[in-house]
Amino acid sequence: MNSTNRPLNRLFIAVVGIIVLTVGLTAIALVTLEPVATLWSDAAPGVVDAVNASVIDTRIPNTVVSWVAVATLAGLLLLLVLLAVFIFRQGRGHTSRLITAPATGHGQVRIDSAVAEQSLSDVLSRKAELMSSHVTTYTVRGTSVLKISVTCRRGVAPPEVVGVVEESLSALEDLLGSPVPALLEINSGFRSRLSSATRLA
Amino acid sequence: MTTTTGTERLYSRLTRRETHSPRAAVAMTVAAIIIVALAYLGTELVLHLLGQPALLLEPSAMASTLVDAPSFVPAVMIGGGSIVGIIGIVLIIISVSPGQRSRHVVNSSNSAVVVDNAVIASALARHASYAAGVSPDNTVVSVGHRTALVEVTPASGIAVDVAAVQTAVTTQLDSYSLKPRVTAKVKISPSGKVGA
Repeated sequence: MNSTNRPLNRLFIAVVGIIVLTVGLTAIALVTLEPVATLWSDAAPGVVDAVNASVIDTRIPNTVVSWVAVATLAGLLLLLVLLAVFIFRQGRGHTSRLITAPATGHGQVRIDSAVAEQSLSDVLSRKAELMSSHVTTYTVRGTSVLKISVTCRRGVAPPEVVGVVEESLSALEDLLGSPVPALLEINSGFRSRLSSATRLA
Repeated sequence: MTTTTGTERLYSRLTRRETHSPRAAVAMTVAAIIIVALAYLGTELVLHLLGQPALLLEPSAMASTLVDAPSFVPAVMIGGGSIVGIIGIVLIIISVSPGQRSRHVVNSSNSAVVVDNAVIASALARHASYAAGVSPDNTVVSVGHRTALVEVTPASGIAVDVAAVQTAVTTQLDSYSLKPRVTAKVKISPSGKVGA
């Protein structure tokens, strides 16, 4: 429903997983496989020396600070910011605008999401089948979509809930004079398990 | 949006996303751990550049520790490496597995509908208990991706009509038009319960 970039999440987890697995396997190989240990002992000091040499070679004149260190720090910072952005990009996509009608010579009609959210919540709160409802609006591929999340009473069959909600939804569509795409999410939740069974047929 | 196919595509995207995990929790946790690790490395680097004492290890000490890795205690390296490797494998599995949520899609033309398996189970339990003539509290239903298991514990001395329960449950499931389809299996507990 939200605009979370799911393929990116999976790609990120996969890349980190591969790196972590490689580190683990390397650690095991270093103490169990003689050739790997020899290779490491032969190559590692050279790499460290090369890094040290480049750090000294790239010193900013009249200081002990090296460009390499500054660049590394900048790289760390950039990666840190990218990861923070990645975290904050999760779960977005709310919108406050439900319908924007094309402008005419007399003006333009815009309908806020709050109109639909509040009127639907109000209607649904009076339905015996439902314990609670929560209506939000998301933008999905440029279309405003209502997300109607309901918790139903114990033992209510899904078609009954769908019927009740879609009836309210079509009343709202008649009122607004425009189709309103919607996602209905029927949950059970802890409270509904404790609630008394409905008396509805 | 105005065309039917457009709405259908939108709805199929919505239901697909609602029935699968976004993997957001794992991705955010991993990202947060990496952020902490990077912040630590950056701090050590800055302290080193300022000529201040290190928090834990100087960058040069980190490098020499890595160089000396083959001489570490083998048991520690194997144990640590295995734990790290298993974490890596788990992350890779999480990234490629479908991440199916315990929800079903309800076919409906007017909106996209997803229903929690617990709701289906609770509705089936009510109808199964009516058909069996026992209290809903003595009917346990567990709904999986394609199967629903209905377990009825009868009242002592009163026989339960298995066929009636099976018919009731199947009729209900058919009327829900779930995707994927769910088939029910009814199990009557061999020993009854007093007052069930």
